[in-house]
Amino acid sequence: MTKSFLQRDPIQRDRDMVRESRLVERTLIALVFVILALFFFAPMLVVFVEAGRKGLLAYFTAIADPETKSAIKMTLMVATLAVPINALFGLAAAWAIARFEFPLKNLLVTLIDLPFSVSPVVVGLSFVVLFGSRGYFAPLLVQYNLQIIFAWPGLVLATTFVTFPFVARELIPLMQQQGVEDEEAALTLGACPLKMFLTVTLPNIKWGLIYGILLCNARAMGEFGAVAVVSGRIRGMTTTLPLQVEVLYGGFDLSGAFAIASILAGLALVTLIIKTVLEWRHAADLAASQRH
Amino acid sequence: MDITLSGLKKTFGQSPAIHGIDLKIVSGELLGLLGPSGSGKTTLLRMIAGLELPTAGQIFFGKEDASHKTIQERRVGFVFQSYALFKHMSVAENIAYGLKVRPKAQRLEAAQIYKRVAELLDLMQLAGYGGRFPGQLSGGQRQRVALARALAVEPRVLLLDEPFGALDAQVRKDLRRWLREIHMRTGHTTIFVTHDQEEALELSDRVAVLANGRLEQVAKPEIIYDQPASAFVHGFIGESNQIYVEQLNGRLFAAGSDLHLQCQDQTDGPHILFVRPQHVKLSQPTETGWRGQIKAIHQSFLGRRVEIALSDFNGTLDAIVNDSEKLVIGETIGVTLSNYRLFALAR
Ligand SMILES: Nc1ncnc2c1ncn2[C@@H]1O[C@H](COP(=O)(O)OP(=O)(O)OP(=O)(O)O)[C@@H](O)[C@H]1O
Ligand SMILES: [Mg+2]
Repeated sequence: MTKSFLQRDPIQRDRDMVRESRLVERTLIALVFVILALFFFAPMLVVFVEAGRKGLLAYFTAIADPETKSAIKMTLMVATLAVPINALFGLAAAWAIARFEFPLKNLLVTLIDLPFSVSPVVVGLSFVVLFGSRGYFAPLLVQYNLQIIFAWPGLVLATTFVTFPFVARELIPLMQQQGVEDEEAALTLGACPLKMFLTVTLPNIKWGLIYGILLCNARAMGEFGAVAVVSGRIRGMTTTLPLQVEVLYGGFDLSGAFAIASILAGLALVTLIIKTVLEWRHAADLAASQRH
Repeated sequence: MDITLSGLKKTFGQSPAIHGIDLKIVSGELLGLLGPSGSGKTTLLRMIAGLELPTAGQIFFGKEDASHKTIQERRVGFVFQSYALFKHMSVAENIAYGLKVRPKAQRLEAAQIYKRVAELLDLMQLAGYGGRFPGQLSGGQRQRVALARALAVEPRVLLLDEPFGALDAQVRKDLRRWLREIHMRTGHTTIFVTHDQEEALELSDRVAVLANGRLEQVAKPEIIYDQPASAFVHGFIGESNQIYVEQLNGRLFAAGSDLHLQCQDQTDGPHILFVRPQHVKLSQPTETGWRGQIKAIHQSFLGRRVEIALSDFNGTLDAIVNDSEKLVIGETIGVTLSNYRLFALAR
C-alpha cells in the first residue's frame, strides 16, 4: 500500500523534492564543468603546449620574426584607434538613447546591434565594395590619393564597425538605470555641462565604461573575418595577429602559428581575469548591464 | 527673494501637465505644495528650477524675469526625492560640490569652502560625518546631506521635492520639526512638495493645493482646513462626509426630504455637502431634525468614532464623539451639523 505522492507527510515530501532538485543541480553543474574542460580548457592548454613544444628558443624566434612583429604592431595600432573611437561613439550613442527622446530612437537601438548580428565577412565585403579600387568611392579616393582597402585604414574601419556595440551596449542600460537626477543635481549646483560630465556622469559610469572597453579591445585584437577580407593579407604589411596565425598555419609553420596563437590566448586570459575582478569588485555598478 | 509665477503652462507632447498657474511666493515664505499623484507638483518645481522649460508663461525671481535663464544662473537649491547624492564623493565633498564647481573668479578659497562645509555639517547635526560616503548613511542623514548641499550655494530659492517621502514616520516627524527650525534660521524662500497633508498643514506658512495641473487654493493651513475653496480641497484635506443634495428655491433637499439647513449660495441645483466627522453632533431625536441609527462604534485611542445610517434619506455619516456619551448600537439618535460646507456640482 503505497501512498500517493501528495498523501505523504508534507515535510517528508518537501525533503524529497529538495533532494530531487539537488541531484539535478549537481548533475548540471558537473556537466557544465565537463563541457568547459573539453571545449575551453583543453584548447587553451593545447595552444600553450604546442607553442612551447620546440622549446623556448624556437618560441621566441617565432615571435621575433619580422612578419610577426609587424602583425603585432598592426594589431596594436588597429586596437589603439578602434577602441577609443568606439568608446567615444558608444558613449555618445548611450547618452543620446538614455537621456533624450527623439524619433526613430528604437531604430537606432536596433542598429547598434547590427554589427553583432551580421557576419563579419559580409561587413568586410561591403567595405571592399565601397572603398575598393573599383568601389563606389574609388574616384574620390584616387583624387585624394587615399588607400583604404588592403591598407591599415581599412583594418581600422572594419574593426571599428565590428566592435561598435560593446561600449554602447554596456552603457545604455547602466545610464538608463542611473537616471538623470545626479546630473540634474550637479547642474542646479552650478556645474557647467562639461564639469557635470567629468565630475558626475563619468564617475557614475566608470566601471561600465571600463568593462565595455575591455570587451571591445579583446574583440578588436581578435577579430578575423571582416579584417581578413579588407586586409588582402599582405604579409608583413597588413596582417594582424589572427591573420598571421592563419597565414603561418596555411604555410604549415605550426610552431609559428601556435606561438602567435599563444599571445592571443594570453590576451583572452588577461581579459577574463580583469573582467572577473571588475565583476567582483563592482558588482553593483555593473548589475544593470549584466548580459554576458 | 520673491518668486512670481505668471500664466505658467506645461504641455508634454499633447498632454497638458500644468494649466496656467499664477502664484506669488513671498520672500522667506515656506510654501507647501500639496496634491495627489500626477497633479503636476514635480513639474511645477522643475520649471522653477529651470530643469523643465515652460510651454508658456513666466517665472520671476524678485523683479527679474528668470524664464530664460539657465539652470546654473537661477541658483536654486533643489533637493530630489531620491536625494541624488554623488555616491563617489564623501559627505563633505558632496556639500562642497556647488562651491567648487563655480568659475575660478567667483570661487571661494579652499579654506573658506572648508569652513562653510563645517558650518553646514554642524547646522545639519552631521558633525563628524564629513568623511563618510552616502552609502554609509541612513535615509534621514542622506536627506540632511542633500539639504546641506543645496544650502551651500546660498540659493535664491530652496525647492524640495517630497523631501521626506522615503522615510519612516518617526524620522519624518523629526526631520519636519528640524526643517522648520532650519528655515527659521536661514530664512530661505522655500517651496516643498508633499502628498502628506498633515506634513503640509503642520509645516507650511501657506499651502498651495494642486489638482490636475490647476491651483485649487492657496492659503494658510487653517484656512485650507476650515474654509476649503472647492469640493476637491474639502475632500482632499482632512476627513469629510459627503452627501449629495439638491438646492431648490433656497432650500436644501436630499431624496425629497427637506434638510432644514441654511444654503450658502444663490445657485439652485445639485450640490455636494461636506461635513467633517467632528462637526457631526448627536442628540435626542426630534420631529424636524435629522435622525439616524447607530450602525457601529469604533473605539480607539484617538477617540470614539460612530457610524450613523441616516433614516430620512440614504446616507451614512461618520462622527467623532465624546467618550462620555452613552451610545448603543441600533439606537436611534438625532443628528445636527455644527459646521458644513456646500459646493455646487458642475452639471
Ligand atoms: N517628462 C515627461 N514626459 C511626459 N509626461 C510627463 C513628464 N513628466 C511628467 N509628465 C506628466 O505630467 C503629469 C504631472 O506629473 P508630475 O510628475 O509633475 O506629478 P506629481 O504631482 O509630481 O506626482 P507625484 O506625486 O506622483 O510625484 C503626469 O500626468 C505625468 O505623467
Ligand atoms: Mg512628483
